[in-house]
Amino acid sequence: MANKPRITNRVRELRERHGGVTQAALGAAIGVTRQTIIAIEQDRYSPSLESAFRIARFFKVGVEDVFGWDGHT
Amino acid sequence: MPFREKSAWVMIVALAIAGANYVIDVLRESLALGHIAPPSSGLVLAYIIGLAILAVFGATIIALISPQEAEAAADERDRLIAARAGRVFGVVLAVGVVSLLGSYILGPHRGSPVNGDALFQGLLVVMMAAQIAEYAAQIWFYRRGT
Repeated sequence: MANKPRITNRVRELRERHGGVTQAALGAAIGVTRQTIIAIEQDRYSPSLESAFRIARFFKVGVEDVFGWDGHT
Repeated sequence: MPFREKSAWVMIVALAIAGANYVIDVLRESLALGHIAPPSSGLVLAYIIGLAILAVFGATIIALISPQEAEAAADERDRLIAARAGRVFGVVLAVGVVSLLGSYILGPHRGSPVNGDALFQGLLVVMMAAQIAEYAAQIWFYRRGT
């Protein structure tokens, strides 16, 4: 069976680029816990579409600037 | 470690200790009787009270260690993990219940050792196992990803 395509993200990079926003601050801003932000950054959790949009809007970028998908159609 | 993973560890330890105590007591009584011990309200009550005390004690300790996390509401990942672990609970419970009921239907006269007493004790153990499996699944999902 093929591996499930991975959802990648640049959350850690964007946090650092935005003045070192903490995981706790980002979590509070989008309504999840710090552990969930950690899990997202470590590719252990793919957030809901709503949270993905919230994260993108927090950093004032598009969703595809934060998240990527290495699968095909 | 997420607060809910710590809670799952607390519940696994509490269930294992209270459950082991119950099973040991039932086994001891069964060996003395020479057959599966009948249900005892005293043993069941001791299990429930023991489990409650251990769970409350453990939950209090982890809440004192991380008070902010203890107050935080479950987020989308917590809810997803709880739902997936709940399915594991359901599968373990269903397999156990169906197996025991099937054995009970066969009855002692058809070579099955499952009589009413064994059915009761078996169902209680299956419930304990299903709960332990649920919390173990939560820990697995928190650690390995969802």
